[in-house]
Amino acid sequence: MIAAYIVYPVLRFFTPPAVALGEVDKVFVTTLDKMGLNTAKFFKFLDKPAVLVHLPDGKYTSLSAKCTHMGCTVAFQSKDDNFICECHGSIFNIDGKVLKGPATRPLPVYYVDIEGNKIYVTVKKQLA
Amino acid sequence: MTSRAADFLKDRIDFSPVQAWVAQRKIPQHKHSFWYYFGGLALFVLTIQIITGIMLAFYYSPTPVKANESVRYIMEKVHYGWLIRSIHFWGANFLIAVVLVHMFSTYFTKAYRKPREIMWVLGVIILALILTSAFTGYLLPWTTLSYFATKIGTSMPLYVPFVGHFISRLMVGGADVGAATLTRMFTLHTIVLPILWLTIIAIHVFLSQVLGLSTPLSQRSTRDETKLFPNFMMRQAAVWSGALAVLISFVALFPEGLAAKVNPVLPAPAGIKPEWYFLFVFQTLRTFPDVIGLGGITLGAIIWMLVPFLDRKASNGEKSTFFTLFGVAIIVYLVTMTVMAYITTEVH
Ligand code: HEM
Ligand code: FES
Repeated sequence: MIAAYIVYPVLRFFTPPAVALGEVDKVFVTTLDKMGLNTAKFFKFLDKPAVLVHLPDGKYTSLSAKCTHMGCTVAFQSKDDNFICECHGSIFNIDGKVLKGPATRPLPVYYVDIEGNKIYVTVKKQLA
Repeated sequence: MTSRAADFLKDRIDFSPVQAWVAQRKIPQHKHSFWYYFGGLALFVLTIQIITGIMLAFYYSPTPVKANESVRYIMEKVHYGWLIRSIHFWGANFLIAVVLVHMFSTYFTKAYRKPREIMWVLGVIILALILTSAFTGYLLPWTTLSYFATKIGTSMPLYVPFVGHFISRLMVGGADVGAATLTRMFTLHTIVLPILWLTIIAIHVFLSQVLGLSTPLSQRSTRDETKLFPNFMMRQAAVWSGALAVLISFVALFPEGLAAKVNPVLPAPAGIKPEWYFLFVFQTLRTFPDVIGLGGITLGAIIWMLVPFLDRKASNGEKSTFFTLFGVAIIVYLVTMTVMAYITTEVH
């Protein structure tokens, strides 16, 4: 009982306080003129690496770039339009689905908001 | 001068029980006695790690902005900084190699058998703590390789049921490896882990003196002994000097360079892989589904730690071929995985 009085606050002390997501769920990434066709840009979103891709068909997509296997940052392969993780070789398609393991879970997909020339990435679809 | 100081002390403190105890200490002599030097050698290399580590800590700065710069400052500006850092780097590799040799030699000579079961268990814990020291120290230069190594190491607990996320979050200190992780790893590396391993090593060494060194079953007929002091210690000192010469040769011939600071948003580069002592884990992750791979390694480590309690035959003084084969199987697995990791990734 007394041990619990000590252990609980100590464990809580070492648990990092959660960040309020509400304030950071939308980031400015870059401008349209800086994104050539079939290129990718890496940025930080929700404290994790994320990637914005300008697809060959002109559309934009954005995903978490944190490999769902062990957390390495995936690389964009423009020749195959997919993502490879060099740590243990997982491959994800452009929608984040696993094409090759060891990863088993998909990369989370974000929303892309284009406002004028500016590209934003959000976790929620903007109600325009 | 020294004898005056000695006389001063002797006048006031009675050292005779200690002297008598040291004088009667004996080390068994037989054809496997060679392996007795590795425990003491591990202590020696560990001392080098402590000294060089404290020296580095005078200049090192555990923040993402300054970590890599401060190591670069040590390498380029601090007098003999490159030397101290390189000794610490190579010392870590040596220490792990020496502790592995020490562990497998006591395994195959079945030195873990009754009454030394606790020494074995503590030894396995010491190895785990030293590997954790190497893992936490690895992040400190804040390079691309050290950054991703830490991402992987801190993601592994995620596969532990129930408490995995909590453990991983405790290690990372935030949403992803960053400033909080660096201060955590630094505190673990320079304060928490040294206190832990020093305490456990103290008990391990104390027990080795209380119980004396174990004679392998096959050598029990030989009654040869040598005195711990001065005979064994003199030879031990020679082993230490030799090891220091080899260590310094590595330091001088292959001084450890410093890779560029990590840019945390960029992808992991091709051909990324850990230091040799973690290659078996790396290859296991690439070969088996993660739950099976990580679960297997954890289970193997637990069984390994409990061997003295499982191997009843050795404790009864009988040959235990099964456990010898088990040890061989573990070595074959470690070596195969390590070699596979080398040949399936380009060497960087
Ligand atoms: C079991 C003992 C130890 C092991 C295996 C170990 C291992 C390591 C490793 C692998 C590195 C990274 C080297 C590099 O790539 O630059 C490192 C860095 C460092 N270690 Fe240790 N270490 C040990 C003990 C200590 C102690 C006792 C201290 C201080 C109290 C210490 C302080 C440091 C510092 C300040 C660095 C950062 C400087 C650098 O990266 O070169 N270490 N350690
Ligand atoms: S971390 Fe990406 S494949 Fe293992």
